[in-house]
Formats: sequence, structure tokens, C-alpha cells
Amino acid sequence: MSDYLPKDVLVEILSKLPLKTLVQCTTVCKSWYSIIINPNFISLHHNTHISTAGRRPLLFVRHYNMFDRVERYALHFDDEELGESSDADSFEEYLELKCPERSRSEYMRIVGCCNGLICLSDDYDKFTDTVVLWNPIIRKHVGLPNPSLGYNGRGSCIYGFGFDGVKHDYKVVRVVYNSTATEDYKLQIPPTIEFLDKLRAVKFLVPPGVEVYSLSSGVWRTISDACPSYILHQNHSVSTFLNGAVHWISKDCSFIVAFDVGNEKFSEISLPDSVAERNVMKLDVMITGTSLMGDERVWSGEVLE
Amino acid sequence: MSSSTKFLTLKTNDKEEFVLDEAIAIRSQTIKNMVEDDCVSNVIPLPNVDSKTMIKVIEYWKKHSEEGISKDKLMDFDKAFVKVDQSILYALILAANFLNDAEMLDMICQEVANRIKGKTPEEIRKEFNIENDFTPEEEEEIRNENVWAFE
Repeated sequence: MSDYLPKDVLVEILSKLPLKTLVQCTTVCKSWYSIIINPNFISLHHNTHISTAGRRPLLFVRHYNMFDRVERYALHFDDEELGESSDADSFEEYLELKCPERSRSEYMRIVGCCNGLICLSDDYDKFTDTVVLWNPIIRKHVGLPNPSLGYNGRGSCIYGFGFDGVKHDYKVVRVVYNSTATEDYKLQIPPTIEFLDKLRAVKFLVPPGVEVYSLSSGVWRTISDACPSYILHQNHSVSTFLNGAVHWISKDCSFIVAFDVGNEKFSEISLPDSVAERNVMKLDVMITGTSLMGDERVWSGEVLE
Repeated sequence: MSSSTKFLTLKTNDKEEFVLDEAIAIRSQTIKNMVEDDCVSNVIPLPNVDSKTMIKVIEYWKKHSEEGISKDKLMDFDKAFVKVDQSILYALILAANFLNDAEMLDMICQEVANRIKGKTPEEIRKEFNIENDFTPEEEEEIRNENVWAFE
């Protein structure tokens, strides 16, 4: 009967199928296979399903148990109203996920997430070059090739992950600050004055090296010229992807640095005076609705339109 | 109905004629374009639709044009509307596609998708009358790439 169905009608039908059935449908025949693996069809399917009413939203949860040293990932249903129920069934688990890469330290850093694709980097405790793009729902992942800019592990190396909506491409940006340190400093407790002096003397080299990996090309490309010559983030700060750009809070917490994933340019967004003047120690940038939010250690937040 | 109501005559491929309120008939984007482009003479030919299918389409259009009908009632109507044989459902899809009624097409495509859900690839081939043009090795290879979906 499908001989009689016009192709666009068949596309319409297939786009309404749940993912598992759809993947099974790739084995029906060659023409179905080629429709389903087409990138345009994949975006259509994604968009159809995120806009479907009644779809239960899923929450991606990572849990690390210090005692058995196991890193667990799972998807949980996320349609409970907060405070509505204290029932143990809230946030019921939908699916346990198998992490594609085992961390060499304790657990992976979650660099970012967009359109259901998750970027993990194994640099939380001990720096490694391992970066993975993971689509947990279809159990597929891509390990990124080794980056080209060297890092001696004694400065700072940060990642950002985002989606170029124009070219339909996912990109990972890597910013490397090597430092003047000539040895690895192990934290001494209590620290001696000499140790603190040594630590203070260490400078990060600016401008940093910057490179971008794009999923469509599969390679890293250096774009260091684009980067401002200040230190654009704090240690262990989180990056946030919104409106086509990755955002970090600058090192001195005085503004937000944005990296446009499409044109690969850096820009600055000022913080509201109320935040910038407060001289906070640690600030992260998050998303609330369609706005950025400065999160100062969770107990207070300001919405930045 | 006021005296200004305009009527259109639709002629199916088995030479049946249906006289329909223009306001209802223009649920079809195809007919609407013809009316707007002023290329409607007396009778609009619908070469891709037979009368049996057209009766169903008009039933759908009339119900969905009823003033003040509740969403729940329409949902119940739609549910019952698609409880038909596969062959009628496909005829309706082709009609909705030709008449360019996006809402109706969407609803029927959803029904076909619901019927595919939970079926094995072999059952789907049978239902859609599709020949498997993969070699067993090729099919095995695709399965192995996505083992989780076939568990």
C-alpha cells in the first residue's frame, strides 16, 4: 500500500512514530531507511515530538556514589509539580543509561546539553583530553579526536557546547590557558607561606588558545585570534547554552562572556549593577525560561533579560 | 443559512456530484485556491477522489464546521471517524493530501502511525505491502547498529 502513498505523506506518518518504533522501521525497506536517516527528517521528528502536547518531559540525572564509586546516569520523568507531592514515586525513573565512557577520575564533567545531545568531558578531577558527545536516547556517542592545542594541565582548560541552528551543526569550543607554573602544586594543609607565594606567582598565559570542534566536520579547528585576551571564566564554573551562544561568567564576576556558536565570535554582556557591584566570590550563569540567570550560590538569583 | 450562502458542486472521479456550502468546502486548501483564483466554473472536478471517500470527507468537514461544538465532542468524532478498514483509511489519506486539508491529513497520519506502533518490521511490511529489498546481511547490520531498539 505504501507504493500509493506520496513520499511527503509517508514522511508525515513516520515523523509521528515514537523513537524505538522509528528505529525498527529502518529495517523495513531501503526507501524507509533513507527517509529516516535523512538529517532533515531527524530534525522534523525531533521538532514534532518536542511540541507534542501530553509528552512527558524527561530529566537527565547523574548520580555519583562516593562509597561504591559508581557513576550512574538515568532519565526521570519530570512532570511533578514541586511541592505537590512528597510521594516517593515522584520523578520516577524512566530509563537507566549506560555512560559511553568511564571516567578516569571520579565522574565526568557535564559540559552542556542541547536538543537531547549531551557533551561530557573527563576533566573534573584530573585533566584528560577525553570529550564525548552522547545521545543517550538512541545509545550513540562520538568520541572527539585529540585536540590540537596542547595543555600542560597547570592552567585551565574549559569547554562549551552548543548548536548552530543555521548550519544544523553541533560544536564544542575549547579554551586553553596554559600557565607559568613549572611543576604540579599539591595542596599543602596547612599551606606554608612559601607555597602560597609560589601559587600567587603563577600566571595564566593570555590570550588563550581557542579551538572549535564541529560534529559535521569531525575535526578541531584553531580560532585563537577570536578570543579576548583576558581570562574569561572562573575555575569549575558552568557554561550555559542559550540563543545560539555559550555563556560563562568572567573570572572577576563582573560580566558574562558569550561565544556565538554560529559565527564563532566572543562578546560581552554586562551584568545588572545590583549583581556586578556586590563583589561576589562565585557566580554561575543559568537559564530560566528563555532568559539567562545569574546564580550566586543558589540562594539568590537575578534574571538577566 | 442566509441567502448569501454560496454553493459549490464537487465532482468525484466516479462522476458523482456533491453540492456543498463554499464556506465548508474551502477547508480544502486546493478548493480554496481555485475559488480565490476565480477558476471555478460550475463544477469542480476532483479526479483523485471517489464518491465513497468524498462522503466521508464531507462528513468530517461538516462536523468540524459545526458552530460551538466542543473539543471533546470533536475528539470523540475523530476517534470514531478513523475506525475504518485500512483501505478506506488510505483512500482518506490520499483524498486529504489531494484536497490539501492539513488538519485532516495530520489526524489520519496519526492514526496510521498508531497502527504501526508495536508492530515488528515484518508485520509492517505485510500491512503496507512492502517488499523487503535488504539482503539478510544488510538487515542484520542495521539491527546491530541499534541493538537496543530490537530488544
